[in-house]
Amino acid sequence: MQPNDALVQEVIRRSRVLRARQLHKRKLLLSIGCIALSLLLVFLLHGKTGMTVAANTEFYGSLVFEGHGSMYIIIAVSFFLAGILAGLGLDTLRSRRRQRRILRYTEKWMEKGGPATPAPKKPQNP
Amino acid sequence: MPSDYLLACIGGPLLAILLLHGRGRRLFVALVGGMFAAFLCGAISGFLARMVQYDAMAAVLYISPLVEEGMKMVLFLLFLFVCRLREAELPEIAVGIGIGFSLLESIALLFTAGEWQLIVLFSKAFCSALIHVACALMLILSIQTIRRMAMETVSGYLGVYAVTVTVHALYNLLVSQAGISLILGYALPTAVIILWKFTPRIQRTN
Repeated sequence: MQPNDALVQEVIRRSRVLRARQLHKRKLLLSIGCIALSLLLVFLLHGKTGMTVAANTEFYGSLVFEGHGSMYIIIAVSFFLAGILAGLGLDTLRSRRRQRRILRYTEKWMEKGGPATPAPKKPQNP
Repeated sequence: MPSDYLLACIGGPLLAILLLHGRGRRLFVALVGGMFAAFLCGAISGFLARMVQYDAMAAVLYISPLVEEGMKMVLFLLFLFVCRLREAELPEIAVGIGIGFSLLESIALLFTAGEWQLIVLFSKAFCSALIHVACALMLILSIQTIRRMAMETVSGYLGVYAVTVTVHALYNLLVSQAGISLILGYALPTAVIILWKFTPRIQRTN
């Protein structure tokens, strides 16, 4: 089949829809994860922290808490940052694996001169 | 005031975000994200101050700007890379995060301030919002420029971070003293915001 303008436009449109869906899913997962983690943090830290706003805060330009239990916050933030890095790493690994599969499929297809079995991932219809 | 109460104040609006859609939700997420980051910054600054045996005043001058701007940058990068925002949407996210930071500080101020004059409290809260918004705008616009100039490197981000930390620390230092220093401190964020507002016009004129 010869590619024409209409076909190319359709491919671009479908790829845009797929990209938008992927982003939407990612944002939804991130929001749910953030809310769940925040609630978990509230329950886990209940009674373990005894921090109060520093005295004379009205004279300062920033907020500082004083008291015990701030190490739990440090641990939570470290885990959050480590989680971002781990997420990025997993995403890179997944995309590399997918690219390798597509490459392997293309090579097979080129060797046989026809469609190989099975395709790596069937694109969903919008 | 116990910090748990502040966390509880953030938790409620966080769930209400799910009811919104589009730009409103994004702005509200930025605002609540800013509040939550400010809470974490307060705890981290307190922890670091206790570790190096600084009092609250020294912590505000030497530690808080580093921690606050660092958290703001992490939040921006999250927004930038996860939400894939368009360039026109970046300033409103910066303003949302800045206001979130200052809102939490204002809540803390409300509970610790004693017999203060209304105008003094208002100017303090207003200028606190301005400095956070100014630093957030500086961060996000510089990151935008770095990305456009294809210099997306760690050194570029560190440079931007250093500038915002310096401005924030200067503001904290100026407002911690009374008199002319306080007035200069309040004028600093206003000058940054005015510069941001008028820079496109100056560029267009040239």
